[in-house]
Order: sequence, then structure tokens, then C-alpha cells
Amino acid sequence: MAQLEPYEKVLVDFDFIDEDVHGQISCEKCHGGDPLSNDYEDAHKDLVRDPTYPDATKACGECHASDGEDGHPGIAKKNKTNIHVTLAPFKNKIYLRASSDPSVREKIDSAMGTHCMSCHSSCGQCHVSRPDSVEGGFTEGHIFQKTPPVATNCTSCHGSRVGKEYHGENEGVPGDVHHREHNMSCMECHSGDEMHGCGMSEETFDRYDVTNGSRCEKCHKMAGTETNEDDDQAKALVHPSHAIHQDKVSCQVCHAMPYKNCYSCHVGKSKSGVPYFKTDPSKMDFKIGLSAKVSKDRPEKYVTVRHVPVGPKLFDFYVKDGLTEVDKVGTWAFATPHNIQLKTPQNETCLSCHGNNKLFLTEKDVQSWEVDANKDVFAPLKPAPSVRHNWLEHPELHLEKVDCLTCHDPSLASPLKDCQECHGNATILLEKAEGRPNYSLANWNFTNKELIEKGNYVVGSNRIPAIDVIGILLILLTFVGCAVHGALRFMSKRRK
Amino acid sequence: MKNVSKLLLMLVAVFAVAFIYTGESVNAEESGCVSCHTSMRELIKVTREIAATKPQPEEEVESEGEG
Repeated sequence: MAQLEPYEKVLVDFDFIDEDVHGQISCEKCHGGDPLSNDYEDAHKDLVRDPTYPDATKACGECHASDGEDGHPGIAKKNKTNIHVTLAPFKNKIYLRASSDPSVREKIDSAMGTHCMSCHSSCGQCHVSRPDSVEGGFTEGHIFQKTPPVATNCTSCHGSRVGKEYHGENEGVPGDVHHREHNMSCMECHSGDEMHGCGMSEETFDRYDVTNGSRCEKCHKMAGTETNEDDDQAKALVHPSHAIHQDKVSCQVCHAMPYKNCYSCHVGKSKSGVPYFKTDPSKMDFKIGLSAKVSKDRPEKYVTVRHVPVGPKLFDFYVKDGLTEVDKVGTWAFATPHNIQLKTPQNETCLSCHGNNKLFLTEKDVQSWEVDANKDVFAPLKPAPSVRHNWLEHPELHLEKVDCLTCHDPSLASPLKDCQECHGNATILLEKAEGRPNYSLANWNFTNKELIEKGNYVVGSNRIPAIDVIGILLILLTFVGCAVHGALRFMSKRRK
Repeated sequence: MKNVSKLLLMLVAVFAVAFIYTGESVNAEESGCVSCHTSMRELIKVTREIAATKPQPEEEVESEGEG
């Protein structure tokens, strides 16, 4: 995103004064300063650049205080615990890793104030200007934007990971299907209600604790079980995999592509006091781990996890070894990558994921100091599918030839284990297997052709008793024919 | 008589509205904030003056990596 020229950042559009209802309020009422002075210094004395941060109740609260009939939702009040403003979860996670020594905490607070907490937003930094973290500047000449622009406001902060994922800016990874095919903006999933906070009375501990966050299930409902009132355009969850994995595996585990992981951030200041940060090169990766926060709202055990850029030396410039508890909090955290696709390498077949240990986060994927920190996130590796199916006669052959869903039918309480279900006369392959033939095995015109073409053929699955009888009859008739022929030859020889 | 008082009331109301409206307009026009911050020429001049007076940092350490 290109920076604005200094004058562009503060140039007010006449339309703001003429047409925007907020333009009817005198400047100094919100910003202070001296409107009658023609001197720059005097005019800007005690000026409040952003009157909506940290507390918006004075500037916005007069009108936006309560849910009234005038259409002003009580957003100013909610903003007190809005994580866009407070960044409370961010601070909480650092505190969990920090030494409890008050003098160390003080230095860490100072470091966070300089580096981390500058990434906050506010009413003004979404609806009037770009966020301070990207040097600010009016988005539309101070005209209030009911819906903040994505490029200057959403992805100016959420750009390195979410923005690039969503817009397909990571090499070799397509953009999110919701953007690429449906041109959906951030706000189509992340409502204004969510952006203004969930109105929790206390500060939110974790960003995924918010109760009005975006969820896939809001639009994507299980086919045939629920109707979708929110969005009739959304694809229903037709594939039987959804019934199998529902509440066990997060949507992103099957539908996300490799995403960015950041490592080892450390912050400091130059000799002239300019703050800077440095991180190790980020890596594109895809890892499935165990959810550290299984709850009623998020019951999934297996989730995608992303490496957070924290490291033991993060604040060493300010206080040496301040993060004494860095090994107590996972560095691979629950994540919702924004590069969703219908088809992904891991959902191509069941075996693309099941038994594919490379996808799962294990001890091998972390540095030695991270092992303890992530012990609850590591996914326990299960035996290979061929080992788990070794009760079958030819496990490898079955895994190669038989569709997993044939036996692992989500409508059944447990998977099929009786060989006769497939290898008997009443084989389920004709009824349940994908691409089942249109005609019955009992018909005289039945052939193997369709089963074989669809890859469903299993030895013995299409045995037809009528053909057996005919075969036996033909053999018997051959013997009878030979016997009659021999007898006739014998009789004719004796007559001669 | 009634009609005259009604007319007077209406006139008072119209003048009151006009007074309030022009009052705000004058405020906006008189405001130094508005006159400066709506003038591109003025802002370019002022921002250049400010930039010229700002001390240049002796050395700069650039952030590396993705934030």
C-alpha cells in the first residue's frame, strides 16, 4: 500500500463539511486546538489527533451510546472491550510468557507500548483514516466511511498473513475461493457487530473467545438437515466427509492451503530512538495440531495451527531474558487461514490426510525450547492405515481399490467389518458405493461392466447363481454328449 | 387577529431556523481549521515547512521481516 503525501493525510474534502453529518460538528469540539488562530503551532496546541482512542465515549458516545431507534448502535460503549482497540489478547499472551518480576514487567510494558500496542485501531482509525500503525491519513478526506475500505484499513494491519492469503499473493497458492470466485470482501463474513466487539464486560483473554466472531457454519449448513436463512448462495455441505468430521476437525484442516508462519521476532530502537523489529524469514507451511481450547463453540479437536513470531529474545533490547516463561505457552496457535479452497491437496482422498504424517505437528517441527510449550498441541501420530486395517486379508489392496466411505459410512454407528457385506451376494457395493449401477444384480442383463468401470469391482461381489447353474449344466451336458457319442460309436462298431 | 399571530409565529420559526443555519455556516467559514485543511496549496506549504524544521535522524535501522 502506497504511503500518502503528508498534505494528503490531512486534506479535508469539502463534501465532508457540506454533506457528512459529522461535518456539522465544529472541528475543535472533537479535536481541540484553537480554530481562530492562523499560526500552525498555536492552532494545534493541545490537539487531539484521534479523539476516539483509547476512549470513544466522549467523541462518539453522545450519539452512538445506546441501541436506539435513531439507528445508532451502542458501539461506543462496546468499544471499551473491543479487541481492535484494547489488543488485550495480545498483551495477555505476552504476560503469560513474561517474568512476574515487577521491574521486568515494567520494561516489557514499555517495549510493548512502543512496538506491539501501536497496532491497535479505533473508531476513527477505521471509519475516518488509515490506522496509525501505517502512518495514518484520511481515507476519503475525513468523510466518515460506514464500511471501512479493505485495502487501506483491513489489510493494512491484517496484510502479511490474512491479506496475502485471501488475495492469493503467496506464490503458488491461489486466493481464497470466497474472494476469487465470489468477490466477497472482509465484511461479508466479519460483520460490523463483530468488528465493534462482542460487548464482554471484561477484557477478552483470547481473540477466539469473542462470541460474535465469524463462523463457516453461519452460511454453510449440512445438506438436508438445516436450511440456510443467512445466505442461500452458500454451498451446502453435501460430501459425507462433513458428517464424519463434524465437531472433530476444523473446516480449515480440509479446506485451507499452506499458509504463512512467522518466527523469532525481536524488537529494538536505533541510536536515534527509531523503533524497529526483525523477524526470521517466514515459511509457508500447513500443520494440523490439537486445539488447546476445545469448547462448546469450538468443539473440534484437530485444527490448523500457525507459528506465532514470539521467541525467547523478543524483548532482549529492553530487558535481558524477560520472557522467562516462554516455554509455558504454545508457539503453534489455533489459526484460521484465509485461503480456503473446495479442493486441497489434503482432501483429495481420505488417505491424503489419514496416515500423511507430514501434515501433523510433531516434536520434530519445533526447536528444543519450544517442545514443552507445544506439548499439548502436538498431534499424536496414529499407525499407518495399512496397519490399522491389517485385519483385512489384503489391506493394501483394499486401501487402493475400495472407497473408504464404502465401509466408513457416516450413517452407520460403526464402520463395516463383515467381509460378506461386500463379498456376498447382497453386496453393498451395488447400493452404497459411489457411481452405483442403475440395474440390479438379479436381472438377467446384468454385467460387470459398470462396476469395473467405476472401480467398484470386488472379487465375488457380482456372483450370479443362474450363471453357475448354466455352467454346471453345460459341463454335465458335455459329459453326457461325450458318453452318448462314445456309446453310439461302440454300438455302430459292433454292428459292422 | 388569530391569523396575524399565526403569521408572526411562523415568521419567528423561519428566522430561528435561518439564524441557526447561517450561524453554523459562518462558524465553519471562520474556522481556521477548515480554511487550512481544505486548501491543498496551504497544506503543501505548511507540511514542507514542518518537514524542513524536523531534525533528520542520524542513522536509520529498518525493520526486517513481516510484522
